[in-house]
Amino acid sequence: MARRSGVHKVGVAAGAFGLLAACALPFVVLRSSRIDSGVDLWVWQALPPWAVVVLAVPWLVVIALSLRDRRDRVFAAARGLAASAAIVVALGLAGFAASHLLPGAGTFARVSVGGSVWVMAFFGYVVVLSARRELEGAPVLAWSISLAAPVLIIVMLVTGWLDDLGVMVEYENQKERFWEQAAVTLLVAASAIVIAAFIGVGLGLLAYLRRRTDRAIFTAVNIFQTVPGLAMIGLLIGPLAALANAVPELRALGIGGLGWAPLIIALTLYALLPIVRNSFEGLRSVSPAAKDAGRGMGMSRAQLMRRIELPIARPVIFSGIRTSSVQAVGNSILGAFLGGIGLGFFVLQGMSAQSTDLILLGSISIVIMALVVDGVMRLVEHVLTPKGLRSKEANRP
Amino acid sequence: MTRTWPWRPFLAPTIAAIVYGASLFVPGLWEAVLGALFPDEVRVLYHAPMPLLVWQTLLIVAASSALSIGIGMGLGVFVTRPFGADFFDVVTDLSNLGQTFPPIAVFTLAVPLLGFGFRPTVFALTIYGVLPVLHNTIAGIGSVPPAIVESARGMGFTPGQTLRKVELPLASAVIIAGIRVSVVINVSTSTIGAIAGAGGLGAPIISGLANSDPAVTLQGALLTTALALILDGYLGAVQHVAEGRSAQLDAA
Amino acid sequence: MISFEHVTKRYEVAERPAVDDLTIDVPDAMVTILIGPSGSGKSTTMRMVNRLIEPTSGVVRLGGADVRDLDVEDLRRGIGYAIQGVGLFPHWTVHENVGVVPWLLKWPQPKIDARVRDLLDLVGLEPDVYDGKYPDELSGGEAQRVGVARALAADPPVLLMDEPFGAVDPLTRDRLQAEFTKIQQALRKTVVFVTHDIDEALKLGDRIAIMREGRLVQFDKPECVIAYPADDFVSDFVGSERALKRLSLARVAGVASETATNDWAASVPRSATLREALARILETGEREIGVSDESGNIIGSVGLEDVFAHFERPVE
Repeated sequence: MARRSGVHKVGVAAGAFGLLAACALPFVVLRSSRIDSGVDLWVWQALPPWAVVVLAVPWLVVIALSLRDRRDRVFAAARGLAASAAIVVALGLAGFAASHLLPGAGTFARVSVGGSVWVMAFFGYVVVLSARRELEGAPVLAWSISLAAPVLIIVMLVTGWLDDLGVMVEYENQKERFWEQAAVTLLVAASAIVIAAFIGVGLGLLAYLRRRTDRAIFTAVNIFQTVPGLAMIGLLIGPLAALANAVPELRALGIGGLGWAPLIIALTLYALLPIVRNSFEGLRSVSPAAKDAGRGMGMSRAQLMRRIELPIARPVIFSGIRTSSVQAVGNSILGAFLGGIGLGFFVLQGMSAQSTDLILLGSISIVIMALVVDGVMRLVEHVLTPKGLRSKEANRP
Repeated sequence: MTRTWPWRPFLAPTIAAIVYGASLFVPGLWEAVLGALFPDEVRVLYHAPMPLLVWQTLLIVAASSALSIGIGMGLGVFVTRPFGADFFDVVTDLSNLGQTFPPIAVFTLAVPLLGFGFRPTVFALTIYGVLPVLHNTIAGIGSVPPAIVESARGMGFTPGQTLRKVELPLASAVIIAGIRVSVVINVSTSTIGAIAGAGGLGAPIISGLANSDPAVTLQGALLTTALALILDGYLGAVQHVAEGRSAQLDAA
Repeated sequence: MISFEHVTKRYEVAERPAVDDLTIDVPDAMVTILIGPSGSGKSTTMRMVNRLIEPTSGVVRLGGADVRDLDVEDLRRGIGYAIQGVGLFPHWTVHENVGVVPWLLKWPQPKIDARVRDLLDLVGLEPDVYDGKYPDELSGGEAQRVGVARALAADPPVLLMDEPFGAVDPLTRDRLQAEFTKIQQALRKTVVFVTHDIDEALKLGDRIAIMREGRLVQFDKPECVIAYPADDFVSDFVGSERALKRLSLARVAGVASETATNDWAASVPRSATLREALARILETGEREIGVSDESGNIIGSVGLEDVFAHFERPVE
C-alpha cells in the first residue's frame, strides 16, 4: 500500500461528490406526459425537509467515517454499508417524491429519476468498491457489503415502493411485452454464443495446431470486431434478403433481410474475437514441460489434447465465452433496428419518442441482464476450473 | 540521432483514406454503384450529402475521443502518482468493471440522463470511451520497470520530467493501443447516436432500415465500415511505430 | 539393451548436425550419464530413444529391435520418462499424475491405486498426505520426487531422465540424488540420465558419456574419466579438482586395512569416501585413523599411505 495520508481520500472525495450531486443536479424530473421535456425539481423542491435530512445523513456518515484513515475491517464495512444506504435512500426517496408529486399533476404525468440520483448512486458504488478491496480477507463481509444495495433495491421493487417512478410506470404499461422481449434477448444472445463457441473454439484450435494460420484467423476476427454494429447489420441484410429470395425455403424459416437471422449472425461475428483469442492463449499457456512429459509417457496426440491441453485451457476458454456473452447481451440492442427484436425495442421506441423512461426501461434491463449473465457464468467458470488450477483463477481478467 | 518518421505503415491507410474521401465527391459514383446493385429501388441515396454525414461522424468521434483521451490519461496518470495512489485500487476496479459492460448499453443508459442532440451524444460516448484509455494508461505506466524510474530519479529528474521523458514514452505503445480501442468503439457507438439526434453516418442506416430502403442502408453501412477500418488502420500504424520505439528505449 | 548405431540427427536450419554419427552401447541395469555443455546433443540423443526425436540416419535399438519398428505410443509407455521441468499435469492430483502411464496401459483401478501408494512410499512421500495434493501445493523437491515416481509407475525396465533434479536448490538436490542412488540399487533399471553437472554425473553414473558438438568424446567409468581424460576438453570439463573428485568416488571400505589395535584418535565410518577420510586425517594431525562399521565398532584403519596408494593404483 502506498503512503497513508491523514484522511481516507476515496471516502472523503466520494462523500463530498455525493453531497454535491445531491445539491447541484435535479433530483427528479416532472413531466406532464411521457414525451414532455419536463420540469427539473431540485431536492428541496421535490422532498419535505425531513426527507432532505434523511438523504444527506448517509453521506455525512461516509465522510465522518473517512476523516481518519483507519484501515481496519470494521471501518471499511461501516463505510461500505453507509454508502449502500446512501444509494438505497436516494432511490427510495425518488420513489417517495414520485408518489407525492403525481396525484396533483394530471393523468399522463410522469416523474423520472434525475441526474443527482444517478450520480449519487455512482459515488456510493465507488465507496462500496473501495470497501470491498479493504475487506479482501473477509469474503463474507465483502459479499454482504456488495449485495446490500442490490437486495434492498429488489425489496423496494417488489414492495411497490418505486412503482410511481416513470420507468416502473412504463414497465407496468407493457409488462407482458417486456418479459417477452427479455426472453427473446436472452434467446438470441444464447444462440449466437452457442454458434460462436463452436466456431471460435474451432478457429482457436486451428490457429494453435497449425501455426501458419493464426495470422489470417486473427486478422479476420479483428476486422469483424472493428466493423460498427449498426453497419454490420446494414451489410448483412442485403445478402440475406437476396438469399431468401433465391431460396424460398429459407424465407419460410424466417431467414431474410430483417428479423433474427442478421441479428444472430452479427452477434456471432462479434463474439468470435474473445473466444478465438482465449482458446488460442489458453492452449498456449499449457507448459511445454507438461506436453513433453505427456508425449514422452506415450499419450497419443488426441489423448494429449483431450486429457491435458483442453482441460488446462478450459477455464480460459470459458472466460472468453463469458466476455462474449456479456457483449452479445448488450449488442442485442441492435435487434431494435431489425423489427423490434429484444429489449432494444424499448430503447428505440424511447429514442424516437424522446421518452427517457422508455429508453431506461430497455437499457437498464439490458445492463442488469448483462451483469446477471456475467455473474452466473463466473460461477460456472469457477466450477469448471480444475481444482489444481484454482490458485491461478484470480489472475484471470 | 536523427530518426525519420517511418512512413510505410501509414501507406495503406492513407491510400484508403484518399480513395474514400475522393469517392464522396465524385458526382454520381455512389448512385451508380448502388443503383446497379439495387436496380428495383427508386431511392438509393440518403437525402443528406455524404461529405456532411462523414464530417458529422468525424466531429462526434473527434470530440468524444479527445475527451476520452484527456480524461482517461489524466486519471491514469493521477492514480499512478504518489498523491493519487489512494485512488488507484478503486479506479482500477471501476475501469475493469466498466469494460465488462457493453458499450452500446452504456451509451443508451447515458442518453436519458444527458439528453438528445450533438453535445449530449459526445458526452455519452465519452463515458465508455474513457475506460480503455484509462485501463491502458495504468497498465502502460505500471509496466515501466521500477529500476528505470529509480535511475531517472537518481539522475535528478523531477517527478514531472520522469513522467514526460521516461514513463509516458515507455508506456506510449500500450496507451496508444487503448486509444485505438476507444476510437473504434466511439465510431461504432456513434452510429447509434443518430437516433439520439446527433446525425452522422448512422442516419442513412437507420433511415434505410426503417423505410425498407436497402440501398440507403448499404450506403451508410459501407461508409461507416470503411471509416472505422481506416481509423483503425491509422491508429494501428501509430501503435506499430510506438511499439518499435519503446522496444528501442527498452533495449537502451 | 539400448544401442545407438551411427546415429545422426540433422536439423535443416543448423549448419552442423545436432548429433553426429553416434555409436554407443548403453549397458543394462546401470546408470549411463550423457553429459556435455549446452548444444552438445545430449538431450537430443536421449529423446531419440523414445522417438520424441527421430534420427536422420542410423539406428537406435531397444532390446535388439529398431525403435522405428515399434508402435511409438507402446514404446513410450514402456519407458520411464522424467524431465527437468517435471511437467506434472497441473489439473490432476499427485495420485492421477503418478498413475498416468498405468492408466494409459489400462491397468485395473485397484492395481493403479496400490501401485501409486507403493511408489510414493518409495520416493519418500507419505501417501496419505500427498496422494490428493495438486502440483501447485508441492515444493520443488516434492514435485521432482513425484516426477520420478511417475516415471517408475509402470515398472519400466528403461528410464530416461533429463536433468530431473535440475530445478531445485543444492541441498534438496543432494538429498534427491542420494535417494535416487538408493532406489536404483534396489531396482537396477537401465537409466539414461542427461545432466550438465559433472559432480552429479560422477556421483550417480556407472558410465559417463561425454559429448561435445554432437559427437561422443569419451565413454567410460567415472574414475577413468577423471584419471584418463580423453583430451583437453574432457579434462577441462571435469575440472581442476580432479584429484579430489577421484577421492570422492572411492569408499574407505575398499582401502582400509585390518589392525589389531582399537586405539585411534579418530575414526570414520567405512561407508565414508576417501575424501572425507583424508579431511579427517588432516584435521587430527595423525597419519592414520580408525574405520568403524555401521554400529560404530572399530574394524580397521586407514592411513595417508592408503590414500596416496589410491592414486598410484591403475584403474582397471
